[in-house]
Amino acid sequence: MINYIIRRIFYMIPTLIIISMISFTVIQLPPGDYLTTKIAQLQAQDELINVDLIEALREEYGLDKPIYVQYGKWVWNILHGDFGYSWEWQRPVEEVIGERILLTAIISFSATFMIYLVAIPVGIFSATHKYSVGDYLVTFVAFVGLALPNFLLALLLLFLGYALFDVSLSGLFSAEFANAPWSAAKVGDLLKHLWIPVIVVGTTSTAGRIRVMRGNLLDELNKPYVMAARAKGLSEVKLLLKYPVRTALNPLISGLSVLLPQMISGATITAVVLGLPTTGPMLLGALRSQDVYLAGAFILLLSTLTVISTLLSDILLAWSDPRIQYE
Amino acid sequence: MEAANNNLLTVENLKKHFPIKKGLLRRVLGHVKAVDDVSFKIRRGETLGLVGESGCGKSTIGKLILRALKPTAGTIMFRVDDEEVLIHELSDAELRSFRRHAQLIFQDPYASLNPRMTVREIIGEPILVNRDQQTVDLDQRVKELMDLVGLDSRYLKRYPHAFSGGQRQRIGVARALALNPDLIVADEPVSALDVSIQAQILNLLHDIQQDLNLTYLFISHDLSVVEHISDRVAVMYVGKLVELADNDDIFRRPKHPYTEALLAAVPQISERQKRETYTLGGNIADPANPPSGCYFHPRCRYAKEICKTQPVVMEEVSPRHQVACHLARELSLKGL
Amino acid sequence: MSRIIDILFRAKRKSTGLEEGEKYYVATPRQLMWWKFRKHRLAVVSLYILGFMYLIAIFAEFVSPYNPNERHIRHLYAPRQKVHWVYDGGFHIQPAVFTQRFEIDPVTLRERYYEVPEEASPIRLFARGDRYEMWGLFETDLHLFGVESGGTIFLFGTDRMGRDMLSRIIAGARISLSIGFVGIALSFILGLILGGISGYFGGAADIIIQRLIEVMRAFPAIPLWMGLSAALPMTWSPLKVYFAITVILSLLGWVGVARAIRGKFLALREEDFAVAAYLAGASKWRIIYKHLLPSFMSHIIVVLTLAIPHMIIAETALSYLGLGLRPPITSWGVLLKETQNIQDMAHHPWLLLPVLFIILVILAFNFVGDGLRDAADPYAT
Ligand SMILES: Nc1ncnc2c1ncn2[C@@H]1O[C@H](COP(=O)(O)OP(=O)(O)OP(=O)(O)O)[C@@H](O)[C@H]1O
Ligand SMILES: [Mg+2]
Repeated sequence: MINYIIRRIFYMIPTLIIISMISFTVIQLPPGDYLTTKIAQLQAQDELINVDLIEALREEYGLDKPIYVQYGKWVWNILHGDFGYSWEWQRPVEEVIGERILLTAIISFSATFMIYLVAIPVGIFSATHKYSVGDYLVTFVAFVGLALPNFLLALLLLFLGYALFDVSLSGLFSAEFANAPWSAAKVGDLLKHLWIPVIVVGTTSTAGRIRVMRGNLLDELNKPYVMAARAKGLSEVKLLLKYPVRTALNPLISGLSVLLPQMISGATITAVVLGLPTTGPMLLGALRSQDVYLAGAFILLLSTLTVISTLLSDILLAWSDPRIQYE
Repeated sequence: MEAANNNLLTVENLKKHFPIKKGLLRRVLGHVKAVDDVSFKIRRGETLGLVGESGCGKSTIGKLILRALKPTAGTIMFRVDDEEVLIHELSDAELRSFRRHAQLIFQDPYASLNPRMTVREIIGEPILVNRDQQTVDLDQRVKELMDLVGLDSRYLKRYPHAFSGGQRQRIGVARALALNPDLIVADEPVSALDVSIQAQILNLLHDIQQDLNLTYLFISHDLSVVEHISDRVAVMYVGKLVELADNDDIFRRPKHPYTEALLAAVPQISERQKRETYTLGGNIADPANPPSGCYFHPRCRYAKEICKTQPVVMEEVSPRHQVACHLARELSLKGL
Repeated sequence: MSRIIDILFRAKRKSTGLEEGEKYYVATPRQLMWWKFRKHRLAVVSLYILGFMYLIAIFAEFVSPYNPNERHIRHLYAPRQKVHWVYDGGFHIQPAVFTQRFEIDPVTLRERYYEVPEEASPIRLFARGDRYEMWGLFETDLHLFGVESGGTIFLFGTDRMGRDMLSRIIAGARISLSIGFVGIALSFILGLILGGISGYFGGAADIIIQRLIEVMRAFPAIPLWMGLSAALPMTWSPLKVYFAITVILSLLGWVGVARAIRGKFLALREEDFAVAAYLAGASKWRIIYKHLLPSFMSHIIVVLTLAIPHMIIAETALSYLGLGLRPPITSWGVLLKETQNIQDMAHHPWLLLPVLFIILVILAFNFVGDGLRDAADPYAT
């Protein structure tokens, strides 16, 4: 097992290297760079330019060097904990993004938690009440939920909240906490606002998991051992929880490796719609203004988070399902 | 010399080892010895039954003979017009022209017929793709074949979904016969069918063998089916042959404990005396990691010390009766 | 209730009397699939809906009553005009719309529109209106419907610049619906080539492509999409941007397609009937096009059908973020982008109509895909 984990971590490295290259290429794609654009803007407004400062920055980040040198510098600095400088925010990138990454992780993990919390019991209900009204309803709602993109759902929720109740459902904090330092009260405020984004981000995947759970459990319930156990007079609940539910859960656990990345990536657009202080809106802003180091750091960190969560869920699966061999 | 001329197929020291690959770099961690040093001959016009438990390598032998798989080692010789063709070393092009001589009947009559083709296309395909010398009337030939296997030739334009399992298997037989082959490998041709249908197909196979002078390699795990149709029988265990003899010898006078155990499991309708019921314990050995000595010793109730250490080889213990067992001469085993 | 859903959603696969006849026995795969598809009623309804939408998209200029970019400055944020059959003191076969007037509400100080029943404009079929060029072929001013000049017909209201929402939604349909197809076609070509190579040749090519697919899957799609789209120069022409966006969408879309193709290919290659053809002496080429491709296509069509809505969603999302298509191109995403403000939307709910159409199309594609999936293997029992 330890061996397996080590080897998996080892395999991650080439993936991460390729990802870092793609990230860097992508953020460097737009013609020109932030400084050039900025200088042009300032000149147009007849403002004084601190030429020395700009030249120093140019020098530091090697903006006049070939792209692979810039990439090398970038990676080297990141390995030393320096993610570069955000032109837009005029602060080192790592200072700007820390909290946002944290909030993104909180939302993604809460959503994952909610997905399983809802999908498993609903899936079990649906499977054990096959072809009942409830089952049809669940099946239909799950189908629609699976098809609907989250950001449209967010849009509709916001609209309904505003049109029907005249409340704003956007944001993660009340106004008084938005810029306040962290405190117990702020955490409480966060929890009060968290449910909307969590529901929105989780809907599609919840719907998907309900279908998977229902299908698996139905397959499992048709197997002879279940009939045999039933014939022996085992109580229905015990019978269900003893094997069928457990076996039906395995594909859900393995699905986690796809789920977490989806959460993280999918939350990006939803976050913009809902105006959450997470990575999404900031990434969007950084991409728009060619704030390359900020954008690059986001793409890289999100990818890394994705790769790591894939790894975690694979390990979880290996641990939960003894049939999978580590060799 | 004369006897040799009579052999349609000669297999010597045939081996097929599947590499077990794992991981990113597809490292080879070991080999499944699916077929390991197997030799036998089939005379023209006879039926050799090949029996053994699931996974022992029966199908692999069949596929090797038809070169659906390439052997790891060994020779397969096939007599075509007084000339030996070395099947194991045919190139792709030579192989395609050899195909007409040996054909396969599949186990699963559902999976083996393309559901998107009509009966005419299915049975006609071998003729169509091998039509090099003169043009034959395809429809006429397909109808002939359908008559031959007992299908109504008016059903030419139907798709497989119109037929029952037994009828589908007849289509499969017709396809195998399309090129007038000498050898037919029948890989469990009736085990997917209802018992009531099995006899019909077996009779069909028997009849066309007489009419067309066909040679069969008949693979099955069901001894009662094999007894019904075979002239000689080969018993296989974990990639190796353990006994090879005439039908009667195998069923009445088995010399290998494994054969005896298989026979004991055959249900008998008219039992004169009560047979000692004895079931084979344990599981079939892992062909990737077989036991030492005689592969069968962990499950053999006669096993002695020598069986655990010394490998066995096939030996002729009586005329036309080969056995691979250290104790073959000592034991007296029960047949049917 | 359950019966209704049963009828609508997934009709029971009862055997019909049809199965008894020769007609069934000689039915081609396509016929069998169609018969099976027909039993999924929601899928059939969805197919008709999609057909209708695509028809409208193709004839967009003709079907829409106005030029989608025409600003009616006296009708900013006009609400939907209702269709009336009772006007001028009686019932008419030919419906009409009433003239809208505008006033400032003295209490809320908001603009308010009201209808004037005395001024009814009958809706004419094949009315004359804004001039347009049809498919770049000929110029005309004929529209499917309209009102006499002087009246207005804003069935879906107008936006903040007084542009007719119905016309804009129809114009958006052309872009949003076509981008799904073009994107999926590109994905399919990429996926077919790479997945086919991977599945057929195996070996080193397979390993490399598999690794590539793994990396692509590890990559968070949306940030990558955003990054690539943001890199498109602002100076590009709308058409160029349109194609660039489809390329970006399919750059990630091929991964799923390639996986599906490779998996299906590997499975089919091992099927008994393919082995039978090989043993009969059929050439590789014949096995591929006669045995593998036909079985394969129906499954691939399912994969592609279910991928189209994802493309449409992705385009909508990108345009909504301002990274995708930009005005003057009108797509449903661009329409949403124009109403980013929630208050704006809450006060003028008709601006949200594009969402309704997006949802309708997405659901329809999913239902059709669901029906196709059932029908793809008509031989399964
Ligand atoms: N392509 C392959 N790659 C790796 N291993 C294989 C392959 N084909 C067969 N094997 C292995 O070779 C052994 C023999 O398989 P084979 O199919 O010949 O058995 P069989 O006697 O025909 O069994 P059955 O009665 O189930 O058909 C099995 O252990 C099988 O797992
Ligand atoms: Mg077999």
